[in-house]
Amino acid sequence: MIPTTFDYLRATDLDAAVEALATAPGARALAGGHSLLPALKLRRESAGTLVDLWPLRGELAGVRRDGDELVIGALTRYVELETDPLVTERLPLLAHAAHQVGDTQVRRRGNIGGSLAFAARAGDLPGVVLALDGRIVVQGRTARRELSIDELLVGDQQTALADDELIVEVRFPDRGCLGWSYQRFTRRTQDWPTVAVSCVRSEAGTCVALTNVAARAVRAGALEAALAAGSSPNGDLAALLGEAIDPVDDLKASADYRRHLAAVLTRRALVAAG
Amino acid sequence: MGLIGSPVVRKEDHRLITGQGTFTDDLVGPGTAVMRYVLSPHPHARVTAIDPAPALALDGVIAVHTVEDFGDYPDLPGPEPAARPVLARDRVRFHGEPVAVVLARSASIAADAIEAVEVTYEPLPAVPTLAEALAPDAVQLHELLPGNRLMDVPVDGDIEEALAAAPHRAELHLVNNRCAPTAIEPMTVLADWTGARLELHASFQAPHHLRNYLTEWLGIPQSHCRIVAPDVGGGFGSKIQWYPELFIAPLLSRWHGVAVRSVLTRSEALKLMYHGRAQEQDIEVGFDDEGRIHALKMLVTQDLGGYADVTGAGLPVLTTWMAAGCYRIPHVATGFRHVFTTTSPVSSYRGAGRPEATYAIERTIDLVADLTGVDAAEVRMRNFIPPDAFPFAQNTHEAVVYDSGDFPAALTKLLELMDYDTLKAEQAERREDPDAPLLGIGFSTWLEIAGFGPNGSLEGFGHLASWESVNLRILPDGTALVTSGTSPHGQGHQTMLAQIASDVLGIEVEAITVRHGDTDTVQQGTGTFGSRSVSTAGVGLHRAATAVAERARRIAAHLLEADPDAIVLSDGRFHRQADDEASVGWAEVATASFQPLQLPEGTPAGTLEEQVYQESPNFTYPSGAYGCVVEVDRDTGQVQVRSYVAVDDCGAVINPLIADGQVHGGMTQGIAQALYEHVRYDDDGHLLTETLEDYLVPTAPDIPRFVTGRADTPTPNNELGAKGIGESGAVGSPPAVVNAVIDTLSHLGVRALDMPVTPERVWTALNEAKAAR
Amino acid sequence: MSTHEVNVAVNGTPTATTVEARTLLVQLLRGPLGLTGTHVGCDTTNCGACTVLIDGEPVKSCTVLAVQADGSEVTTVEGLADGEQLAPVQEGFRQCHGLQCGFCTPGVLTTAAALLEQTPDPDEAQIRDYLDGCMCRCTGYQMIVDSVRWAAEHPADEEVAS
Repeated sequence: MIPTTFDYLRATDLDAAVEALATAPGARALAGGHSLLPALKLRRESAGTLVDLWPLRGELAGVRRDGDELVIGALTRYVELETDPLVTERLPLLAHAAHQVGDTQVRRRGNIGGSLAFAARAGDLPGVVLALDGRIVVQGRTARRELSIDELLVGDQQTALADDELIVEVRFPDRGCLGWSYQRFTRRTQDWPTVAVSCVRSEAGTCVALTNVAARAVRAGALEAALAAGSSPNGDLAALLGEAIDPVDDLKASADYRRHLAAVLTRRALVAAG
Repeated sequence: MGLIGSPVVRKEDHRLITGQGTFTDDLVGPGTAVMRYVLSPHPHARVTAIDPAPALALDGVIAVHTVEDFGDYPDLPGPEPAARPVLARDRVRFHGEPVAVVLARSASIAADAIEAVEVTYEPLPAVPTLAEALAPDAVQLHELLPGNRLMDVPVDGDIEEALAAAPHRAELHLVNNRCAPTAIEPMTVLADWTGARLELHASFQAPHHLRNYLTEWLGIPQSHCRIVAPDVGGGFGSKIQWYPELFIAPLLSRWHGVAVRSVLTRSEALKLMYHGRAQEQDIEVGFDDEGRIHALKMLVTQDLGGYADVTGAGLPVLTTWMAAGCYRIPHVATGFRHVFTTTSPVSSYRGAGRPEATYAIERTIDLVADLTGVDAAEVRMRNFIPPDAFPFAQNTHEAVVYDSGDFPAALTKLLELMDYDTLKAEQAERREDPDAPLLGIGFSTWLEIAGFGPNGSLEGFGHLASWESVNLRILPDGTALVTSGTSPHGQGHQTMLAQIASDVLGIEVEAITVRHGDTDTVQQGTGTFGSRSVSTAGVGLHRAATAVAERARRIAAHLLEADPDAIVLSDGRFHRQADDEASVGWAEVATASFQPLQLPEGTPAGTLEEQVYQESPNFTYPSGAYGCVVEVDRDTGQVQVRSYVAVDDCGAVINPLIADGQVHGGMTQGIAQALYEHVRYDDDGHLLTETLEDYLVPTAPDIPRFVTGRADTPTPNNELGAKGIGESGAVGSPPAVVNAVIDTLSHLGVRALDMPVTPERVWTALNEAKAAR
Repeated sequence: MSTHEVNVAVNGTPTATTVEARTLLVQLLRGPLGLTGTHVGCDTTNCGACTVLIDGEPVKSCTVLAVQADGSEVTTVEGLADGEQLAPVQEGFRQCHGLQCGFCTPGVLTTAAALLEQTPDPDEAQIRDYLDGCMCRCTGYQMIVDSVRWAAEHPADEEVAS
């Protein structure tokens, strides 16, 4: 219930935040804190310094258009994603999925940047952003760079972020959404997804991303290719997904059941996305 | 008057909804030290060394104690030779068993200190399952109890003859999944023995019971100890166990001269507060083509965990007593065995042995229905004890005599409320439509033993006696004070008891104060558990109020210069006779009762007070008919409860608002046991469900709206006619849900599914059934 | 280990307290500020008993550092009533038996108050959905839903509110 001791540093601006992450001993970024603080409280993890990013919300929260792209600040909270008019209009998949995360209270602290940087295998947003081909803008002490979401996600709670790097925004291309679906399977409403499938259809094709069937969210590449080639893959869906996924057994489900759920939810997502 | 049966809004609520509650940890004063345990990371190990030095070196650590420091004190109360030491002695027997205790100036320091204590373990092989513990070469947990058994009562072999004589017989192996009661307030203790007397506040369901044991354990006079159960944040049977902090915290306070507070974290509570259920059953049933049951045999295997709790040991006894449910079965034979495993100890959880019995008989009934093709409701009707058979001496045990009930009426009402015929038609349509979710209808026509209890019933569980104590006192202004030995933790006794007193006396509910949970102010008490409070304290208070009203009538007659026998008490006033305006109120009568000059000659002052130790002539047997409708997703196995209807018979209802609340809560726990909750260990005996992330307590969107109805038959065993209702929902619900899920698949030949019925289990059963075709 | 002065307006009253960095908001409220209405029921942000409003929004105070709340307005269960006048949601819980033991109730009340502020006339599904972060072990939730509905149907009397 009580973490080991740490120092707390309130970030005054983005430069100061990345500077602190680079130099303070054992520094860790605190965004919404709803993954990090419970882990600290259970003493499964520790920190030397928590660099609180919340004061940067003025700078790093909010949704705007930039040319054809929709740009979402890293500290934009789930509750804001749910209701933001630009997000609900252009990225309805993201708005809908954001409402499924955690619970009412969690969604008032948790945010898109925190979710992507934490990169839990069962997290909702990595898969959603993967399906939407989000690009991640990252600020380090010396440089700002942009990664694809695919480049960002490495493994369960592993990303390509360097220790001094922070996600500052997520950029989404405007593909013109023709249909979408988020299929999320849980035991209880407030649980992390046992398996989830994000699907979005546009003129450019159909994108399908799978959550919690591998160490990180994955795109169903073979399936997307088959769809692009005009095939109707109902029968061999499991085979088409098979290469992309590598699920594990845990308290919520076996690997076999997850494989099955992935196929069922994908089929449903494709139907719902039209 | 006429308040019994009214939905009176609770007197308790105002404090609790304004943040003025006084839960134990809300009462901590400045300077209170914090006690925390060092927990074993191993389920079974020898403790070879404990080095407290690194912890003692931390600023603010007052002390570190191990079991040797408690050498002057006995083990915790419990069945020997499997009683539990206050801290692990040489050996730990479940994951998380405390091996040392730290006392520190603050919670933060204590949290740091427990990690600094260095403990050396020599791990031993774990035996986390019944099968492993029962294996011939199993590791032994208690040297003096070979075979990892405490008691082993075999099934009487004569039943074989009856089973053989039945036209058909079938077997069933059932698992009552291990659950964590999970009161939202974890176990909390606040001990102050810095003065002459020990004052202990604790989240506990039976403060006098604790006083009796704790003072004996400490070797101090009972008069030197005050136990208070203030506001208690839920219990569900999990706050009447002899948790070591109840015994350690007072000694730490004494030894170190500070008040001591112990608050378990949730992850600690999931290991250290005793679990429930954890019982398996092997059943054989003999029946005929019409679905009539001829013979029933059941062997109950009760997992006790690493140590024997006295209530835990009693669970299978209650299960065997209730084995035949609400049915007349010509031949019944049961047996049980207690088995030790390297898991957290098992004890009472809402229902305590009766949910397990209900699960056994109600699953058996559905199996018979499936095997004979007779409708599940009709099988029940054919086997019910008829309404004219009460009192009914059940053939499971001589102590079991059912008081009253009308099981066919309850089921008939249930079928009406569910619109059963329409549901059956819809189910048939669904089965033909491969795109529609499957529909299942499940029943549980259950009956439980409650109202603990009759003399002798609680003594076996280690209580001083089985009565409940209640005192009614009229104050000089005509208001009333009730003190009750029950110790509620959400059940609304301040309101319920005030209604009973008000009903007799005509004093307004608002003018009646009910006190409980304090051994200094409440004369004696047994406690709140086993659906006992109304049929013991409630009945006792009714008698006390009746006696006090009679004495008040005599005083009123004296004041009115009237004939006592003509006095009529109505709307809180004593009238000279019916329809006579000449009257006196409670205030005048009460004032006079303390003024000898106002009293009839020979009447002493202070007679408007009555104390009752209410004994019960028999148990009560609440019953009911529950119906659950589920939809099952054919592709994923996901179960959705579509509707849930409950018809209860708890005899007389004192407050329907409170009664419905009890039923709703119990049903939610029963649904949760059936679909969500499961305490799980890995193959090596480590607890996997250590947090509420993994132990799946449901929230509002996971639970359906309930429809409730009543089919009350008052018990003849007490003048209120009340049976009790605290455990009903939890007792009756698990088989209703499981029967419904199996009903979705029964046309495919599925006959069994284990709780919790997870989507994956349903999916697996669907696959196996399809493969078998 | 840094320490920090935390300035929080709690239920309208300014407070200033020095805390360790690791002190959780709920510990500040229950300890130095003496507001014991807010409870702790778990250590993994699941149960919601500790829910308070930070700047009007429901947040689990066991998963926010006290220092993070610096400069904000916090409303606890003690601050829901207007003097002697219970908030509609409180009165609803009383009228509809929305609580039994009362331990989780402060978190449910603050969460429900936020719901009603945002959605004054929620239906049953909206209420259940909004309360998905609150565990109650006693009521089975139905009477909680009914209590919130009662409050929606009995908004604060305007005369009293003005």
